[in-house]
Parts: sequence; structure tokens; C-alpha cells
Amino acid sequence: MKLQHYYLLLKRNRILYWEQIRLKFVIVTLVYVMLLLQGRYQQQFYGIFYGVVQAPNDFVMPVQWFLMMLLPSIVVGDSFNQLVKIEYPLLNGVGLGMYVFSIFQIIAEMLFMFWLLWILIPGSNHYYWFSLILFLNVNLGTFIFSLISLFLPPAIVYFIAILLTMMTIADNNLPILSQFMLSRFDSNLMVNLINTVILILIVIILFSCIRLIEFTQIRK
Amino acid sequence: MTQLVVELRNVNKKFRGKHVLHNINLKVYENKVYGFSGPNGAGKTLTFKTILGFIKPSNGEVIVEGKRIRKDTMFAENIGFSMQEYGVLGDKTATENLILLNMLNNNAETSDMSMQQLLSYVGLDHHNNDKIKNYSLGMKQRLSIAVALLNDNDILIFDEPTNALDDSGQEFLVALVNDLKLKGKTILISSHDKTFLNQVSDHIFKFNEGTIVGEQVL
Repeated sequence: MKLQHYYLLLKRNRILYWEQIRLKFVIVTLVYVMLLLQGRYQQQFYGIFYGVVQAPNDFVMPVQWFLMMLLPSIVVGDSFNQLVKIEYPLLNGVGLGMYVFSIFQIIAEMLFMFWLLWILIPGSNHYYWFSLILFLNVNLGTFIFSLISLFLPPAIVYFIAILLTMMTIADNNLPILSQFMLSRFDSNLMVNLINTVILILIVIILFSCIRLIEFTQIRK
Repeated sequence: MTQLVVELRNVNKKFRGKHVLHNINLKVYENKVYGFSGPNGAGKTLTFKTILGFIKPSNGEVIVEGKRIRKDTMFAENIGFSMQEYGVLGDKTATENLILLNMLNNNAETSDMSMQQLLSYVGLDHHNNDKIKNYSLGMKQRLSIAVALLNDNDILIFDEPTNALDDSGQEFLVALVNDLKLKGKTILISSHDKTFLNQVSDHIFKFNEGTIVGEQVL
């Protein structure tokens, strides 16, 4: 596929994607801005992304962190599923892998906007490495969420996303996911590399399953 | 001798335990028009989607021009199709949509002129500059047919093309199918309208509850 045609594909899919998420995006952006402004005066970046280290026999719910992590998946919702199962068939001359990749790029663009809010609004941020790894991991996590949505009903996919986020909050040493919290973040390069490679492998495994999907979705 | 272009061998499909296609066996030969009749939910659209590769049969084989769908190739390669559920961009004109689809599917540059000829062929030439979101259902149906004809494929699938068409639209469709047959196309067409199917078809498959319950050669 020529680069010029890939840009056209991106342009077409951007239109369809934003048609689906526009309202959710505006609401979530407003929620983020409010949370981040509140955090700016109280705890700055550190406090917002600190998360929690649970003490024995105690449970603390880090609401800000919970919302920061979960809301991107809420915005993406079922849009990836719709974009693939309804909007792809007319373009089946384009490789399905290339098509899915173009949607990943559009999701990454949206997450980049959220990430800019995360790092710019809270004021001083000395956690550059964490910020970068968080952006990468949130992207990979959202891709995984999107790919799973091709195979399972939306309610179950949301349930899985909430369950994983809650498990991360409850368990101080949950592999990979604990790295999403500043309080538990290990800045060791090797640890981050291994975590990211594992997430990339999950994306690749799910990506290789896209040949199994069936285009039976009903337009919403 | 006429060539076999599409064959379904013992195709079954189950969705969440429900048997929605049941032992479908059919053969489609080139340059014939095949009508698919039956009530809603009879399995006509599902059969079309199976031929196109949009659905993977639970068992059985779908062969299009010698290639096993979802085995040798994921999607059927030489079939144009018109299905209302697969949409175009509402904020663009018909010409813009056709150019975009052609460029992306075929990596090819297209002139406005050739797209306008295609739109004229389906009777949409007076609406070149209208956005699709302002089209009536009948106009969207015609555009969907134009999309099916875009790549000049030898095999064409029209799913319920008579829906939303008025009398003149139906007359146009009969003329269009006859013209396409003269051009050597193989056409699979579903409709609730038996009179229409009798007018255009060489062979009719009658569907009910996910299976073929009868055939009629005209």
C-alpha cells in the first residue's frame, strides 16, 4: 500500500472513529481536566499517579488513579469493534492487518492527547521515565482491550477491564500492572523492557487471531 | 461449457449453539442470474456473507473460482457486493466515496469522470454533489449497487436490492440486472419480491430456516 493511500485510510477511519467517540471523548476530557486541576493544587503529578500501596488488612481506593487508567478504555468502548466489523468489509481490498494498524494509530493519537493533559496540567513533573513508560503501557493495554472486544460482548470486556484495574489496586505486587502506579513503579530498565515485551507479545497473539473474526456486527 | 464459479459444500453455521445455516449445497455457474428467496432470517444474507468470507462456516467448504474461502484466501477476491449494513461516509458525496473506495481497494487513481459514469449507470447522476446523509433510502440503495460495480468484478451479490425502491426503481433494477448479464456477469440476488426474482433469475434457491428447501430453474 502506498503511503498516500495509507494516509487516506487514516483520514477515512479518523472520521468514522470520531463520529463514534466524540461525545465520550468530550465528557472524559472534561473529567480529566477537573481531576488534574484539582490534583495540581493538592498533590501535582506525583499524587495523581501515585496510586496506592495497600497495608495489611486494609483497603484504600485510589479514585483518581482508577479513573485515569480506566477512562481511555471507556472512550474506546465498542468503537474498535464497530470500525472493524462494519466499516471494514467494503474495504476488504486493504489488508485486514493494515486496516487494524491504522485504527491503532488513531487510538494512539487520542491517548497522546490524554497523555499531554496528564503531564501538562498537574504542573511540575520530574517523573519523565515513568510518564513515558505509562504512555506506552496504556497504549498497549488499550490495544489489548480493543482486540479482545472483537471476540467478546462489550459488557464482558468492560468487566475484565474493571476487574484488572481493581486487582491492580488490591495486590501490591501484581506483575506488569503494578508498573502503571507511580508508588510501585520500578524504574529498572530491564524490568520495564520485560513488561513491555510481554504486553507487546499479548498484542501480537491477539492480532494474529483477527483472521478468525466474523463480520456480523449490527450498526449502532 | 459454462464454468462453475461458486460452490458451497455441506455448509453449516452455528452461532452460540443455534444452527443458522444447515447443510447448504449449491452451485453457481458463470453468466447466470441466481435468485435467493425466502422470509427474513431464512439464511440468504448469511449465505452471501459466507460466500464473501465475512463468516467462517462451522463446517463445510465454500469455493469461489477454485479458491477455498477462509482457507486459501480469507475473502472472496472477485466478487462485488451490495449490502446496506456496510456503509459509506455520510458527510461525503457519492463521487468522493467511490473514488476513496477505489483508491483504497485497488491502489488506483480514478477520474471523477469514470465515477460519474458509474453513478449515471445506476441513475444517480443528478445527485453528484449531494452528501450521502441527505440521500433517500432508495438513493442509498442505488449507491450501494454502484459500490458493488466499482471494481468491475465478474461475480456480483445484491442483497435485498429491491428494498426501498419504488416502481421506477424496480424497473431500473430489472434493466440493470439484464444488462449486467449481457456483459457476462454472474449475479446472486436476494429479494422478498417473487415477481422481481422471476423476472430476472435463471435459477431460484428457496430458503427457509437456514436451509435450501427448494430450487426452481426458469
